[in-house]
Amino acid sequence: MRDVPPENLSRRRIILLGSWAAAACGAAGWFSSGPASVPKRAGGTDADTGTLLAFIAELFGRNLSLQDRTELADRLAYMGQYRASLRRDCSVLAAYLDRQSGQYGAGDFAACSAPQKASIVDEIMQLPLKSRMAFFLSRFSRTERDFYRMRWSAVPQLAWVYRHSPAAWRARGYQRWPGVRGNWRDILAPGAPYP
Amino acid sequence: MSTPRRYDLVIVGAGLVGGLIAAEATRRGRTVALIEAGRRYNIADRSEQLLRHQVLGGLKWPYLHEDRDRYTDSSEPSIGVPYKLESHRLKGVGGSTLHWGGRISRLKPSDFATETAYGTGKDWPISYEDIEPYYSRAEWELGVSGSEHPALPSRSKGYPNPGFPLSVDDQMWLPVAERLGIAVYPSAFAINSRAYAGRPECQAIAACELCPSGARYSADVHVQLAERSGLCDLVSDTVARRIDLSASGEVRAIHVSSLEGEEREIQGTNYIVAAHAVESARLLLLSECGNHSDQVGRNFMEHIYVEGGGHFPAKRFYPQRGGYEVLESLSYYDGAGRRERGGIKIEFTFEQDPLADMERERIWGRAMARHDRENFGRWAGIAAETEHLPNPDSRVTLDPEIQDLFGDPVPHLHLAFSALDRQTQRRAREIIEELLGAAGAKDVVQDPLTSNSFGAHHLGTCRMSADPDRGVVDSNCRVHGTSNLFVAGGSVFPSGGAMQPSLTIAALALRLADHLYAA
Repeated sequence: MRDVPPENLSRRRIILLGSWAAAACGAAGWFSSGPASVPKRAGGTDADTGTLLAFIAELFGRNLSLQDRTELADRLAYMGQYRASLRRDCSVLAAYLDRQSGQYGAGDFAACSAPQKASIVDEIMQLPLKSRMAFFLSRFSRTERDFYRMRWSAVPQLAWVYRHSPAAWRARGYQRWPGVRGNWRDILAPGAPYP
Repeated sequence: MSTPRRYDLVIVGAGLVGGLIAAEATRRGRTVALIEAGRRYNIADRSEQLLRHQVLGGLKWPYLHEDRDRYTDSSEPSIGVPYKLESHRLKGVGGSTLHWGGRISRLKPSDFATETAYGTGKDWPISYEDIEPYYSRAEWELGVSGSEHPALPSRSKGYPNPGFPLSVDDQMWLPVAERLGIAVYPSAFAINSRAYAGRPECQAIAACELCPSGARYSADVHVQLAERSGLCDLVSDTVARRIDLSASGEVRAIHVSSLEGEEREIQGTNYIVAAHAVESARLLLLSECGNHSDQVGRNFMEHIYVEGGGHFPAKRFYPQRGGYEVLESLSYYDGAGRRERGGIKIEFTFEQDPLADMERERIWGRAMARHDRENFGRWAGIAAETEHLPNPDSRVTLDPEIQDLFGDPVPHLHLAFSALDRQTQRRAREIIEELLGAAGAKDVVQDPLTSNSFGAHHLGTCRMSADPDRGVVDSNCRVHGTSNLFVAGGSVFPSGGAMQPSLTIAALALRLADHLYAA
């Protein structure tokens, strides 16, 4: 039992009041961390996949071959099949990417020029969301929640998928990678160099 | 109503110990009940598991049963990092060998008598000579691939499979080792370098923690052997909750509950608790068995991996091409320095993914491609496996407030380091600095301890001692004060050295089987 009020009670009251005010503002959409709100569309479409593959390529600065794209598309489909929340978050990201592409007159993100894609990816990667306030606002504002999920769920997940995909290993000159059967005696040969 | 079956042997835990002893007992015509809290996994599913990990991330074996596997932990204040039990143990048929890397080591003879030789740790009541024949037998049971080397403990029998040679990357350390006068050798693995015992040759899938081919040993192999005899009943998805011990010290039955809540008792002539150091101690505490001297749960030990690495701008390594690196050294393990610290084993690593630097370095796009091109394979590291000396304050107890799905107290961990442990870690950092410096590494970084710095080697808690007041089991793994109750596994280690413990666990299991069923 505590019989003396804590010394920082008044400071707590101020923080609480401020938090509620911020939440109310967020709910009303009065301010936003991102440059534009996120459009809504049905998730898990082919359009999403094309946009997300273009995003992955831009994120890692790589050109994806047809084989890379096919394999990555399969993995994205697998991801969506097992984690509905990730499918939804990635769909939010795809919709946002395509909408931002509109400002350059492009139909979707994949149709943008390289500098345009780089500019949009920069904008997403620089979203100032990794703060307690951003997390707090994401609980109350749909727009904030979309930005938060896009940056801290969809982007890391897509990065993980690429890092562990054949495309990432192939880009380094590997002909075989974890998950593919081969011959352990390969450790005795230097193999192809990094291109 | 049919009469309940009475088994020759009841084993709690279908992991490495349970599998080996069940196979040995059934070979000798004994009936066995093998109780396992977890489920049985199908090896055919491992490729799917690997794909799931590559796409979704997270644990490679993410099959926790939240209500069954709860635990609490107060380790953080004493060691500075959280201890993640959920990623270290695996409940299932095969136990933690389902997700191990397969690296195999014998303890050194000195590890059995550190108290006498160095004044640190705790002597075992058995010697290396006592256990050596069982080490050899265990290597043949598991199908170990290894190469003999003068730096390794003496042996009475060769390895069943040829060792894996040093990789191209490993060989970069050879001139450095020669210059420093340290002995390096290829480690042994419980991975087939050639087809052995019905399992295929390693196919270099480079996912040893899952091993979709089955070339890496996992203990479900021996569970299946026991089952095929027709003498072993596997009781999976069933938790052992109490040992029914009479006042005379004889166990009458083990009380179990299925995950669906069905309760029953299983009776036998002898009983072995082999449920990992945490759950074995918990079961004894719940049952008030073997704890007359307040030793159950104490001296919980781990292996702490002190790691560092550096860049080699003029070299390019190619990690993961053959699956794994094999080089290690025992040159810093023993010697006069061990009076002031624990043992240290050195392993050499090459894996670091520049693509993982995205968030930390805040790089993406063309800069990321450049970063990968410049840094991929330019890194080599050292992982020093360090001994965690026995410490009575490092312990497993019963949580007085939190219960599992059956209403039983969950295990509470308090992992503690002593000043000597910290001295061991400091010495390991000096060695890493010395080795990387001698190799010409640039930008050497010593990694801080994190929750990933542990070997997931749970030792102690039911330690072996000839003196009932200083331990829980005798030199034959029988619980002091009982006639037919045994504890086996890493939990009986009086001290753990700085070696992967699985081979010693397997050797102790075979030794116990011989003790129970010697011809």
